[in-house]
Amino acid sequence: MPPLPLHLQSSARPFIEVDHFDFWYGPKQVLHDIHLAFPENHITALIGPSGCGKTTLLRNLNRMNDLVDGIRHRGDIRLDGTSLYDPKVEVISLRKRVGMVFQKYNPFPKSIYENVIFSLRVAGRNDRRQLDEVVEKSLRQAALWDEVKDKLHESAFGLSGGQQQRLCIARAIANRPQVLLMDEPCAALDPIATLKIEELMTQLKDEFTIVIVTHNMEQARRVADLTAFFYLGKLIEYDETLSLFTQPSQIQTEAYISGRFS
Amino acid sequence: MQSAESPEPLRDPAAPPRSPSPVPERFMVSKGVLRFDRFMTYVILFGGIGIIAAVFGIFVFIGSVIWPLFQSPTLTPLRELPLATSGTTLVGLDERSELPYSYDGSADLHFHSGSSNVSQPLGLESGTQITFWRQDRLNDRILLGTQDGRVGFVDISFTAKQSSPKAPRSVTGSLKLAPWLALNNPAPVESLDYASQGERKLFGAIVNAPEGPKLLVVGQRQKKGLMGAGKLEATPPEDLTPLLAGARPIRVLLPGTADAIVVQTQTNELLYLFRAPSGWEVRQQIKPFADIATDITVMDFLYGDVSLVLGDSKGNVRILSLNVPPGSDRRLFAETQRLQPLDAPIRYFVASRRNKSFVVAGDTQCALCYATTGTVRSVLDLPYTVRSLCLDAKAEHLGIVDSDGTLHLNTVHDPHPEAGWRTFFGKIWYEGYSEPRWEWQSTGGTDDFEPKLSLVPLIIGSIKGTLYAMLFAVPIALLAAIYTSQFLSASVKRIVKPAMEIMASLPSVVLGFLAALWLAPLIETKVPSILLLIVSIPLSAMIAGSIWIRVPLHQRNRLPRGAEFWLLAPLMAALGYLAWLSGPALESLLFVAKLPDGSQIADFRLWWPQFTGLPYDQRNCLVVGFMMGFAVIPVIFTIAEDALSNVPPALTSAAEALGASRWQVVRTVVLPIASAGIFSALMIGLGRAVGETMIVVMATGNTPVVDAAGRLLFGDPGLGGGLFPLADHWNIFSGMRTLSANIAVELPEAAQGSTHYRTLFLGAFALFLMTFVLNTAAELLRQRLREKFKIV
Repeated sequence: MPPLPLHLQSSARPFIEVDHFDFWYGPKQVLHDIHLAFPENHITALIGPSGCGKTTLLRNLNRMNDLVDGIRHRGDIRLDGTSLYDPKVEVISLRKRVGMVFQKYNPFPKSIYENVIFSLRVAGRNDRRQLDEVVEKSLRQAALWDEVKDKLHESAFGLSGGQQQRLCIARAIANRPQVLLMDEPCAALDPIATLKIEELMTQLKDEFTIVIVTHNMEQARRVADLTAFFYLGKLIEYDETLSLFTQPSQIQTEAYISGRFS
Repeated sequence: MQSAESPEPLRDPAAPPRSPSPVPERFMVSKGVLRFDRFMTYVILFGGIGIIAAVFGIFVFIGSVIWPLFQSPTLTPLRELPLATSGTTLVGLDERSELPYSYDGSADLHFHSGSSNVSQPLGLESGTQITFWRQDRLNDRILLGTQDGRVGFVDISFTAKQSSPKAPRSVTGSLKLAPWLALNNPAPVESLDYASQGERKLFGAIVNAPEGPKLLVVGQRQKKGLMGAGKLEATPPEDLTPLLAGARPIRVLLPGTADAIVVQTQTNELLYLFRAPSGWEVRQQIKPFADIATDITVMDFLYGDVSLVLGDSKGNVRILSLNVPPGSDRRLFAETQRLQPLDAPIRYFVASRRNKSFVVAGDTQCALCYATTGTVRSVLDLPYTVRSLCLDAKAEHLGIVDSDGTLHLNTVHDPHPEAGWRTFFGKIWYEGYSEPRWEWQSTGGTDDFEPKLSLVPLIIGSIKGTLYAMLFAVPIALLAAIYTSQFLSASVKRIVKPAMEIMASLPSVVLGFLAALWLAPLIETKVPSILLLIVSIPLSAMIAGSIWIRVPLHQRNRLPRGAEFWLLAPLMAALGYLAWLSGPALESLLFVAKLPDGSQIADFRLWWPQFTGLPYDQRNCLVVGFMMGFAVIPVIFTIAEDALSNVPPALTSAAEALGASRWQVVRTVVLPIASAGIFSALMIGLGRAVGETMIVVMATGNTPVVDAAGRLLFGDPGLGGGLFPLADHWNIFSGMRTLSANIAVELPEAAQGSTHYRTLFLGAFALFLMTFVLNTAAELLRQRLREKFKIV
């Protein structure tokens, strides 16, 4: 059983458990024996220099890597106790449980409304009143409602970058997944939009288990309850955010957070 | 307020101007780079303008070739000749209109060479009095009838002498009187005609006998001997007056077949008498101007002797043509054209000896007409009264004699009389046809052939060929592109895509060859098998799908993505093979035809015409659709596959991350975004199908048929009768000829500058216009699609 950081072991329940997980893209091993658990209703940040495997791990949590040719893994990932790789798992339903927000905002060429309810449409839910409710709730949670409520049926491309990313978040939470994966959600945004999304994450953690990949250590420090530091495909350190940033136990962590390499 | 302040507040106006510091060498752009840059700019500019100029140039060229088709004829006065004789009724022209001649019923014929008039005796024995004379329709020959009931003719021949190429030509005429034939009724001849059909020759005449006018025929047979044409032997004259049932004959005409007579009676009726094996009989009695009380003033045959031109005293001109009406086995006259009436009564007529043009005149009006289209091409209002008309053998000169006896020679320039909107797009009642039709038949076996230049069957052929090709190609190509780009495993895709691209480069002549020599005979007997194939292939996909979802999830999950292909392919092949084999069984079950002797045979080829009443050709739309599909599928597939593969992975993964199944991703994200590209693919495929030539030339049989598709598109919106009205319009088992194939087949043998040649270019223009309109509409639609689903 992969452990939670010490101080949470009594108060939180591990929701995702990554159990001695190795992962290869073709011949290249990108993850080495990753062993950790993400607690329910907390925000966990994955940090580390480029190419350290944090995004790969994130994309394994909803099996998005299945789309890539020539992948291989060893070990296991369990979502609420069930292995993701259990042959009985239908990938489509898994992805309904685990929502994802991508680094570059990617709304569909549809109206704002249709973007938000996409996951409901593909699930075959077409009741107009229900959809209206979902749209309003999701957009409010994504702090976008007031800005777009008058142009719900206009193209999503009319929005600014930050608004589009918040729309993607609204889209990801519309079907109420249990986990929300965020892959550098603010990388393409300006500081004000970033701030809005960070506020949003703090509000959302009451309902979702959030895992966020970020390059921005300040962001990790601001929003994350827990932080995991990855280096060269290995998990170096995993702890409560504050203690990881103030009293890192590993030298690599210390070097990274103090900006000596990136 | 300091409104007039200097715009450069930073610079102190008192300070001396700063000299610019030199730009360091490393920031300089080398001259070679600049020169090359400028050179490439010009090259690109030249290329761009060149393309526009080339397209425009083709347009201008085609336009300049087809423009003369729509020009009106011109008649320009050439010269005037006073004819010395008075009361002249007959004039004629030699080949170059250098030596006109006139005849007034006397013993001499007059040649008029401009400066001098030469009279030549016909060679009549003294006492012979000519009571009727008329010009032969085809030759320089004057038919003569005498006071004492004899008939004959005199032939005029011309010899031209030219001592040196620059010396003036001197043309002299000579006459040769044929031996007389007696009608055995010594009464004055009132009307006469002569026809010669090889060895059979026939005179028809009306004589004014004391007991009343009589219609007589006298024939001649030429005996063939070893030494060539032998002696003429007269057959005894026959009296056909009893056949007229008391009507008074006033004019006779003999068609060139020398086996019939058309007689005009005083009551303005026409009697069509025919020499059946048992003897002469009345085949038809018609009153051409029954609807208006008027007198027939002119009646003569057009070139070819199949159509009669009738003129009346009120200026109406109507054309009657021989054809076999439905339900009959005899050729009868039927009115095929009515011309725009002239203001003057029709008194004079002369027909061209080259085509179906003719000239009618009366009082001071003269009109150049064309019979096939029934149009008055040009009307001349003359400052004199017309007394006689003549045309030379090439129909290049029109001679008009006025009341003072002056011959006015005009040059006629009407190179494309048969052209016109009605010819190309309207229904025309051609000679020998029982109804007006759209017909393409540009050349014929005889000189008096009537060119049929309707583009309608060709346009329909093009549409039909394209339609069937697209019907076959679009579903296959698009589904294949979707499957390949979105579902197929990458390893198979790496083989499929280049293979399809190689297919696109197959020369269409190879495909056409295959279609004509291999596929057409193969399909001919295998239609039921093909019908079963069409059902079995989608069915096998459905069966494979239902098997696949019954495979337990954990076993399915163990297989790599795209593995279902290996289940689908063998199943599809097996079911397809089974369908192919069981074709004959289906045939014997459903497609049983009755033979004339009452026995039954299971053959689709015989069953189809019996069941639907539509023809079954070996080279049919199915073959063309199939083979042209092979030319079109790779084009559509390649472009559509690119469009589908180019949908950003960010969007497809977003959709997958939201829990959409693979088909949902395709339907909701991939297809809308790729729609503009798919649309382009379809348009390029359509362009290929419309313009495709070699395959259709080789595989369609090239028969320009308008089956009822024409009725649907041009005029008759009713779906017709029959058991299967739709099949009636788009019979898949008949051949066609497309515009492009028509050009390929006929352009090499069309005389440059002829109507045929220009019409082929008109066909090219129609093709161009079709694709242009289609492509413009498609482009507008594509822009809208792209705007709607643009990703930025």
